[in-house]
Amino acid sequence: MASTTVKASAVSAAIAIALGTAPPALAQDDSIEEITVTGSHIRRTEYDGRAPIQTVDAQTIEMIGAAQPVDIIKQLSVNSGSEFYNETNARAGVSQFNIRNLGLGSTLTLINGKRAGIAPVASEAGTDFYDLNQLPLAMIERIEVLTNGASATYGSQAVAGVANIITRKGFEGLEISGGYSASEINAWNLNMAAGAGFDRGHFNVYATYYEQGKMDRTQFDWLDYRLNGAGDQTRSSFLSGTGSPGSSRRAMLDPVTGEATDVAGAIQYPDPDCEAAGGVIGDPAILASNTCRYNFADQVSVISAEQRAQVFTEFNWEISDKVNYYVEANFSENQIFRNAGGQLLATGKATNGGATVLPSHPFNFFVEDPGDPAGLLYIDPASWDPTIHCTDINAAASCQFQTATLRNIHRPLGPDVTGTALTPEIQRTLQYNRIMQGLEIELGGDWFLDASFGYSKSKITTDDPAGLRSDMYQQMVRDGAWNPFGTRLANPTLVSPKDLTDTANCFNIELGGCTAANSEDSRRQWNQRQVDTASVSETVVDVVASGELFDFGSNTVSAAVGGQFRQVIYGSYPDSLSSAGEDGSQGVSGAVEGRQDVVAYFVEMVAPIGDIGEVQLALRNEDYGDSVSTTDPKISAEFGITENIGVRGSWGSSFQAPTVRQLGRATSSAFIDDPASATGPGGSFICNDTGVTNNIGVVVEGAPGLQPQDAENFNFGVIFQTDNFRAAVDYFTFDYTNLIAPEAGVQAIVNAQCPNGNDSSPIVQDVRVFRDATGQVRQVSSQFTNIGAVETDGIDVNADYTMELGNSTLMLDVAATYLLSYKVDTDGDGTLDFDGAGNRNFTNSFSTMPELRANAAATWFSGNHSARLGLNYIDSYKNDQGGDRVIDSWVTLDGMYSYTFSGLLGEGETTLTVGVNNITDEEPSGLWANFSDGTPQERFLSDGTYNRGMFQRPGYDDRAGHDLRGITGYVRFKHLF
Amino acid sequence: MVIARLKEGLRAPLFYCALVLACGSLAQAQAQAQSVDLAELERCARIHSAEEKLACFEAIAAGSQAAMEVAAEPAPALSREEVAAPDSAVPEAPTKPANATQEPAPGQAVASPSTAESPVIQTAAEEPVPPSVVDTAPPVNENDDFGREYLESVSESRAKEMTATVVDVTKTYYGELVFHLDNDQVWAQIEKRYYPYPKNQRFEVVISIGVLNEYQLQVDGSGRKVTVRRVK
Repeated sequence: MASTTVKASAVSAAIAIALGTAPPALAQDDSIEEITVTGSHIRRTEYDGRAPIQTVDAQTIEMIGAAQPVDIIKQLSVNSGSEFYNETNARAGVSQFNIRNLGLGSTLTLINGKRAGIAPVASEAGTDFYDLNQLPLAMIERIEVLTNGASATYGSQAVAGVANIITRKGFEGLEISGGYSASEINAWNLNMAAGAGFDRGHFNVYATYYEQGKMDRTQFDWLDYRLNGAGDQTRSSFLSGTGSPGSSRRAMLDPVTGEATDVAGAIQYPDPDCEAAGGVIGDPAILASNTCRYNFADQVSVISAEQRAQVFTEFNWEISDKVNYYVEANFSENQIFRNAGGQLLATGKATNGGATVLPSHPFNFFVEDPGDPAGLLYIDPASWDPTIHCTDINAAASCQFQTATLRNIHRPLGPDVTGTALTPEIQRTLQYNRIMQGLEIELGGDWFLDASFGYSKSKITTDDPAGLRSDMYQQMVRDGAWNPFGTRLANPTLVSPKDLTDTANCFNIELGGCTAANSEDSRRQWNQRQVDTASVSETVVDVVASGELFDFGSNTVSAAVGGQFRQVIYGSYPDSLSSAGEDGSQGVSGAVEGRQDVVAYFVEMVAPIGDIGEVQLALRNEDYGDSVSTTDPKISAEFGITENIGVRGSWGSSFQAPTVRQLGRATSSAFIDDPASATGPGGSFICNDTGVTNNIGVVVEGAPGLQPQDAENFNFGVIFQTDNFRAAVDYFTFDYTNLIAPEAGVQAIVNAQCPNGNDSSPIVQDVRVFRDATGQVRQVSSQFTNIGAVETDGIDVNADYTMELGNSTLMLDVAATYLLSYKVDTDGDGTLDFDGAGNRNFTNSFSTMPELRANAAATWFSGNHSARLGLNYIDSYKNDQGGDRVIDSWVTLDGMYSYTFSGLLGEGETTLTVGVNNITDEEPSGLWANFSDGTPQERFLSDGTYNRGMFQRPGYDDRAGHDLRGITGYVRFKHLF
Repeated sequence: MVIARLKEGLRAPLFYCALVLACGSLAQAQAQAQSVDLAELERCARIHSAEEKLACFEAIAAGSQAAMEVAAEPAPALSREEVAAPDSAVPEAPTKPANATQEPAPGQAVASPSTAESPVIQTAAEEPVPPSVVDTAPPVNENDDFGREYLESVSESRAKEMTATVVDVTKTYYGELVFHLDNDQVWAQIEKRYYPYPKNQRFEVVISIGVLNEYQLQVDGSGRKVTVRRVK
């Protein structure tokens, strides 16, 4: 329901309260304007604020030093498990609410009471959410977070609560502000807010430009130390078995495919120039030394560079005394820049993967070992003699050695592109458009009609310069036109000493032969940009009528009734390379499109009970077609017991409908620990945990007939309020069932390949797990189903106290959420077998849920000065991926001071602010692990060497809200003309 | 409208006689025709709503009827004859926007659908009134007001600020400050922001108009301003 008149009406109606006059005294005004509140469609002339709403207002947003919406989300103690950072690229650059950690799709985001839109990327589970990064901070007057289920009022997604973003509608004047912050990354922003009233209406425009820098992994000292070997590259956790250069095995050409296939028992040899070319041979104590590995630490930007340009406008026009037209329009473009490293050759045509290298390759210096049918000998190029080392041993009598056919396992580019000025960047562009317009019509008899039409569209374009034309690349390697060996980097001017009958495929002929270095021209023949797009659009048509139904004694019962039509259209369009199976990844990804239509009806009633309170009833039905529909009721009540004490409570059911992706297909990525390794005889996979963590692709297919997730929610709270002090204690409980999730977690699926643990037995084959030739897990697939449940209850505490000290005002406030339980049914058998409270919840579909989150602050105002000191606390919790090792608690301190000048620049007011967040420079808590027997892993092993298994990737918890940036200093200015 | 009529009138020598007579009468009318005040007419002209504008002018006209009848006595006959002459300018209040498309014949009612200022013209034309009475602009040069609406803007002509005393300060539910003035006006802060004001006492404020026509309240003596809107 539009709270479009909240600004003016809240003032005028609330004046009634302030003045102590009854609303009818204001009724001289022809159109008495009323407030609509979050959680209800009914307009009220009085509102006593007893619903469990937590508010973050514009003044607080300034005083916590928020430069972007993510900073606001971190302040909410009821929010847990939002994705703030995303190393794996899938959700880099977006942010969202996640109230009670019930899922990214279980909080509904509204703008002025209307649905805000859908982001073009979904959560890991395929649920939709609203990307908060698209809103200019300058437009936010306050964010009202309603912390109980509200599907009976708003429909799908309002399970854990609703975040209603109220704009600065009604703002008049011109305000320019900006800031700069310095930390591990630097960021700056510039904002404008303007508004003017004219005879019959009002217009507002807000704009923000925001820019931040990029941070790669090794730029974080603590991350480098935790995972990158603490200075010893051979023990880094970022080593990939698919190196660049790579490793070779003796092979022959398969008579059917024509590609290399290993000879029986082929031994693997790392590239002889491995380390000289920037590769890494791992520590033989923990990693097989027959592999040339690649350190991809800097392949990933932990914090992406971003540029955001955002505009939000709103306009309303009183066409007549009884009709008001309103429109909101916003546009946002967010460009995200992340590193791209060397891509994989997952579609290598050689048997078991990799590329075929023929004996004729100009830089293939391996010859078959005459004494070992499975072995190779490497001939140093300086000693290469074409008369002895022959491409065909039978060609001449002098030939003693046969150049070998190789299966070469490598990635085409590695150190050539990573960590250098030529590092290619993946550019992701997120574009958001939304327009929402409607009419408010006064029908007479105190009834209002609100009819609105909203359309929002979001689109993401991923432009990856490291796309690979797989077939082309492998053909060039076969032809000798591309040199995959280490000599290309270690000895680029080396001229091939081989007797080459056909030199047409070599480069730099003018230097007198084939040289080891590859040219840009050849690279461009197979290295192509890959552009993927995906978009989601949502159309919402709302019609709501609200007004007074009848009088009951001295009270008036109000009602609202209405309907809604929503249409969501989703499309994903991978690059044509992917559609042809030609890109570097496994399988074929074609275009995916989906559509969902929803029709909803609702009714709501509010009955005041004398002077002491009110009861609210709501009922809503949503129909998704295909016999999927849901009806949800809600009853809530608020009573004042004494002048200072009130109670409130609600019970209702809410739901989250299956999204278009969940009915189709969702892809994401995850980090998993591999219980197996290719350390068995002949390189077979056996259950031997070598502490390897992989980043894998996850594909989850949907199933038609998926039912909505259902929640039952009960809240009860007590409020105590005096002139200076306000406190509220709320108890909440959620029973959330029929959760849509992959039938099993990816870690669980991989672990099931070693059901008996670390016993060196061969792994159990599973079609859902795809491993490449080196044994690394590349992709896990599963299917969506209604499985699992979670039951949670806890307590929210909010209190604030205001003191007047002479001419100064001091405000103390505290907000905390304490979790009593968070029990998860992980396997869908109906028993709540997992205690997720105080746990990272990696092995189920939820995320980090500490038992206690709390914020406290002291804010001081005096004349032109203001200052704030804040304390943030996130409790410690267990890492279920690491044998329940404890992840430390997190305590940070923020401080700011500002001074307002009058008439510094012209006649307006200028406010200058300086602040420091995370004053003590806390590092994010480490993602520790225990050994499988439960004993804690230590940083160094008993032999004094670095223990690379102690920390799990990514080394920090990206869902906890721990800030990676360390101590952050900022300055800000604001000028009000 | 004035110019068009003037142009026609200039062609006739008769006009000059009328002009001299008009000037004479004008001087006389000046002293007596106080009931139609230029400032009032300007105020009406600035009202945006058509209905309210009409009502405003009618109110003035009603008040000026009496004055016109009084002023008409000193030079009735001559002026009426002049008004009846086809080429003489029909008297108009100087603040009307010149609407060249309208050429009301003297003495005839003017149908003017476009502007609400016309009713005053109508009133004047229906009752042949000496030009001197209704033409209340002190300067004789009728050109002076031509196009004046572009010179005057709303913010330039109306009061730029108001001084008052605040007797009470309350807060809305959302925390915006509400200032109750001694002249029974009530002004409220548009957005909740901290604003320092003297507590528990009456204090002087100045409410002025800002850069985008917003109202800004300033505690007398403090430099700080807060954007407000009048609610009562």
